Amino acid sequence: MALYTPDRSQYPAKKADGTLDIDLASGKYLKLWQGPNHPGITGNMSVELTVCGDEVVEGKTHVGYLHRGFEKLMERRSFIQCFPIVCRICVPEPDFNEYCYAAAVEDLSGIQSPERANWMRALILEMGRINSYLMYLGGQAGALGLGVIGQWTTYARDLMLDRFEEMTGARIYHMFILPGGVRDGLPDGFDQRMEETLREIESTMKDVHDVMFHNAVFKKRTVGQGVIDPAWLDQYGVTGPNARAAGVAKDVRRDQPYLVYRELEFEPVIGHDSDIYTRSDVRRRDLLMSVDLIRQILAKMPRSGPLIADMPSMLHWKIPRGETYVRGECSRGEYGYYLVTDGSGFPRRVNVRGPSYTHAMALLERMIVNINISDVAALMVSLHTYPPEIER
Amino acid sequence: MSVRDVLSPFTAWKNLFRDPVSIPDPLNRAAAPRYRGFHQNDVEKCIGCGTCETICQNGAIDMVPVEGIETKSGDSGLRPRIDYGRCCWCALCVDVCMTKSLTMSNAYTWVENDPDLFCFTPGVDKKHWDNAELGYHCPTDRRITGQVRAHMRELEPETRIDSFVEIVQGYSVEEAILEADRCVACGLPCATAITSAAWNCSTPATRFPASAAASAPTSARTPALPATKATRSPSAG
Amino acid sequence: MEQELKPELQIRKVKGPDGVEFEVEPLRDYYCEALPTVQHGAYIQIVEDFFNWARSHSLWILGFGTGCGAIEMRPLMTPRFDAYRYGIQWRPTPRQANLLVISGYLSVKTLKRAIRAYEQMQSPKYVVGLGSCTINGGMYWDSYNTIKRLDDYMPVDLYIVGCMPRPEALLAGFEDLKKLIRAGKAEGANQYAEKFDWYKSNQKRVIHDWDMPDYSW
Ligand code: SF4
Ligand code: SF4
Ligand code: SF4
Repeated sequence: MALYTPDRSQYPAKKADGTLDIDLASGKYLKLWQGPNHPGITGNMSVELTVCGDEVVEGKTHVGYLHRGFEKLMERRSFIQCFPIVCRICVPEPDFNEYCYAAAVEDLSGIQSPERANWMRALILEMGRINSYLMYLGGQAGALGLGVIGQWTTYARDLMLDRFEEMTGARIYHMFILPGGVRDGLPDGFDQRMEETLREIESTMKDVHDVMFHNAVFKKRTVGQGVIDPAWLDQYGVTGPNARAAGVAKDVRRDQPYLVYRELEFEPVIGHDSDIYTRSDVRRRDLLMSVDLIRQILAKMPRSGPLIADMPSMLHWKIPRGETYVRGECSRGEYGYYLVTDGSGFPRRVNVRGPSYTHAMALLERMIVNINISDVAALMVSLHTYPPEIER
Repeated sequence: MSVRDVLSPFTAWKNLFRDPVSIPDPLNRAAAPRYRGFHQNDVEKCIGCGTCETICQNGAIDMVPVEGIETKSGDSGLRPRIDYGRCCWCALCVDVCMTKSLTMSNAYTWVENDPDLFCFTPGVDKKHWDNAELGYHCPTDRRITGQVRAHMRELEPETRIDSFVEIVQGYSVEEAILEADRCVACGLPCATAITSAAWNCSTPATRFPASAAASAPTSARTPALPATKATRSPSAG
Repeated sequence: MEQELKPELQIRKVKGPDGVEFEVEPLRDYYCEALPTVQHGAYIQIVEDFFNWARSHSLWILGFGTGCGAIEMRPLMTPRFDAYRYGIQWRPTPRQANLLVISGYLSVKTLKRAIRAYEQMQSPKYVVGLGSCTINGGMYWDSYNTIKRLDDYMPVDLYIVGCMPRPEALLAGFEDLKKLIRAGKAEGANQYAEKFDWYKSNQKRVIHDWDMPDYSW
């Protein structure tokens, strides 16, 4: 296993307070901003690089371009009014916010969402995971100049968005998982159209496998590049595929099953080399596993029964004093909501734990050192971070 | 790295022989039947209760007077005006609507160069989607306000024929709270009594056991909802 | 509110490769001081009409995803919706683009970048606002960190409503923008030059760490 090599030949000395002694006036170093308006960045964020030649000696992640203050906004919205805004926290995979929020509220108010709603929720979450991975694969290939993969995966993702649209009534922000249950059942003929979509996705993934994963250029630039040392996992709070690619089977779906995952058959996908290539491959296989999970869910889910629990009037719904933490495994790692209520009609404090934060801030800043400028984009994408979720 | 790694990327060329996947005419593509598009309102059915205004977390709805609709008992004469510079198409207003008059069509295209033009009163200002059939409608068996009416107990006919006990007994405290929970505080039929009951009750302990602990409803925050109410309360007679 | 300039913007002495020391004042030396001017059509109407027709068929969008709406641009760039057949394409730098799409909410920090990107674009240039957030604040109408009405900070030619607008709605919006351009009504850049002071004062009211020249191009 090729691990991160601490080659410090180009590296500036450290000052007494631990920061690097970079003398810009010496002409040896150059400051370079990657982002926010830059094709090689995962979204509206930026990395401030200090380079020496084409080696990066220091990288700082700058965020705040998308900050909207959700946690504060939620404190002045009643519990039902928070429901439409939580999904905006993470744009490419919004459903986890809806699920975690709903589950946290249900936990504190003692409401049980009905069995059928749980299956529907699991279905939506797996569909969202596929969307998220498809988007990632396009980005990962695109960061290395392989534009065609993005064309294919976006098309496949679009088909999935169509399924979302007919089921939930919206393409991106589904606002479907209400506290207490879900809004609606499956439309007629959904299973068949879903099956067609899944087949299309599988055939796309086969092409992606041939063109991206068996590609001399892609391999050359990703194998052994950007390695996460397994020892860092706990130090930096690495979860999800990033951890699984390092050989640690962390998967909330299996470690602490929620919804209906207890009744589904799956095995967390694991890789061993922990480099960019392995991370991409873990995600590709995880995507195929989600395809399989959707088939299992559709086969096993009950088709009748209530979709939403017996709820009090949402207009003046008060939730007893309490606190809870709800977590789930989204496509990037562990997603969690910490919710505190004080007996009033408003959340007292909401804290969203998004995996992108730990990955894009601390971890990226550590890994970005000593790599080539042209690999920064690939490395950043390979950590699979979504800026809206970093800063909320 | 193998020969395969060099050759297999060229399989991408097989897409040359594939049918294009582009949608021929994306400009006229209909949205899904359930799509949450632009609002419609049946102004005859709407009673101007303002519950949609109360629940909208974006403050997108204002209740405005409408020409030709009189204020009368049970109808405030106001109708919801929606600001699409605020709306997020969450459809909570549709779900909560007391009369089910508010619905959503599946129309989704509206382009304008003046930002002030996006305020409209559905059903009153004529729009091309007014008569659209498809779109999001709240399922009849679901509403996000309490909907089960508590049954008032009755005495045996022999007892009640010569006594008022049944009337005096009325609801128990729990049932009364449950019943008051259904109130949306619209102020239309009965100006104050039920309204204050709704705001003071805690969540019914009988139906939602975990709520029993929430006996201290005095929050440091003033509830946002009654405050907005006050601005447009003197509606019904 | 006067703020101390960042170190890289302060006046400093620099030693050139030839050993000569000279003084650099980044805010003056790195930027041109000229302000934008109104540019009228220079030719007879029929030539201008031809130009406008040509402009309307080459909308080059700056690929700067400022808010959530950016996620619906990707389907547009790819085969399913394929905006390229409508003469629309994406460019990575402001210098090559003539259409700035503000895709949703703008936090104050992004507004600063968006203004710079807009000012660096070549005239004639257009701005399209996507989604409720650009019209009247949308979801974040009470957020402390977003601007509520894009119109106050940039001359917007067109708004596309939706949260977020679907790719089809975006295409319809771009088609409408083409009509405006052909009719010679998309005069955003000139409006910006005319009311420059008004726009600047609005921008400076929300951007507290204003450390760039008034007009950067
Ligand atoms: S909730 Fe329904 S009935 Fe009441 S004002 Fe709104 S649209 Fe009208
Ligand atoms: S759909 Fe949601 S945001 Fe729009 S008016 Fe209704 S409640 Fe308000
Ligand atoms: S209008 Fe909706 S989709 Fe667009 S930026 Fe605002 S919240 Fe996001």
